[in-house]
Amino acid sequence: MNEKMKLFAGILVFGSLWGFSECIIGPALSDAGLPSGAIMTGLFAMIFLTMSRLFYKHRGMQVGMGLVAGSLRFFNPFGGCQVCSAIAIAAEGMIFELIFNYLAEIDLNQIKSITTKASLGIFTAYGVYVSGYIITQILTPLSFGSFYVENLISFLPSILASGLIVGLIGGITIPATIELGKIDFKLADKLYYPTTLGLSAICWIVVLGTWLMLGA
Amino acid sequence: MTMGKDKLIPFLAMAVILIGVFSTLYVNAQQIENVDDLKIITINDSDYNIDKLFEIIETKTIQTDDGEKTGLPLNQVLTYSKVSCVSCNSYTIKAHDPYQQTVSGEEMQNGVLTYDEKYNIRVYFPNLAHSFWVYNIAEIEVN
Repeated sequence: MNEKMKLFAGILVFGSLWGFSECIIGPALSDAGLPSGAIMTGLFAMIFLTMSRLFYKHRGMQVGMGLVAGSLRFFNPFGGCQVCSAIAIAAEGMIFELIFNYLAEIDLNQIKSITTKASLGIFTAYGVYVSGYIITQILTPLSFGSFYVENLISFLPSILASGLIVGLIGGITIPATIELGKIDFKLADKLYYPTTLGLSAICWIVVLGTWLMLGA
Repeated sequence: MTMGKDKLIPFLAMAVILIGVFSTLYVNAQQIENVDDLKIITINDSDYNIDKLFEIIETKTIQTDDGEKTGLPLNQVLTYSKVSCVSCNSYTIKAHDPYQQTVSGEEMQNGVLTYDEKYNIRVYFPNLAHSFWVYNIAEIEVN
């Protein structure tokens, strides 16, 4: 029970941090004229997803993180399509989980070769971004009543092209995160829940508070 | 990590890089650089100059979740382009890149057509997700 609660708190904090960065940092990058979607997935999403895998070594966790982050993104008052972004983030968590469950060991420290780590980063980041993009291009029109497959097919080359930069970023982010994960860091038991729940609460209060202040 | 996966992962990474590179080349080859081409929008198989449309049709302002948007009412644009019953059809709005979305006749009644100083022609709808707000429009096809 205690382990399950710890895992749940981990899902909540990592999902909230991911969602918070999507809500606050993503629009700021976009306003600065940077490719925010590529940076958010290739850098932030990959860091949080890989870190959670390193720390907890638990299958299924990244799906939960995607749902938490997607929920937070749904209430975000900044940026463009809330529904699209929320769906894409939830999908990204699921795709990451699928790829890592098939290709990587549960203990990422067992991957020794830097080529394998970089390749895993490239494939995962590209796969997560492109799959999330495609899924949202299907589900968003469906949620408004209709989806036309020819609309997706005509845009597919652009989606596949946009994933290239994400893959390259992921090829650096994931190996770097695995290396940083080797640093011995452990939170004392009595600090675990106050820290994880406190951080999660801050993320949600800031985003929901801004949403309410800007008139929901 | 098994030997099989050690070999598979670099292969997969190379495959997605190649897919990304070739898709980028394909997309870039389709880019339009002539500004005069961007001024033209094809509606119901006929070409219209966006400046001319704004001279002929009166603009209206709609409220969206991204603030007020002023442009040509899409129902009037379609009527001008000889669509006899706007609500009877669905419409595929195609961008140059070539992103496209299909919108019902009912939603088209509420939307507006705008353009900016770079002749980026765009539609806005008050009740649809932003993914339907197609920009850099080349054509509105009547289905």
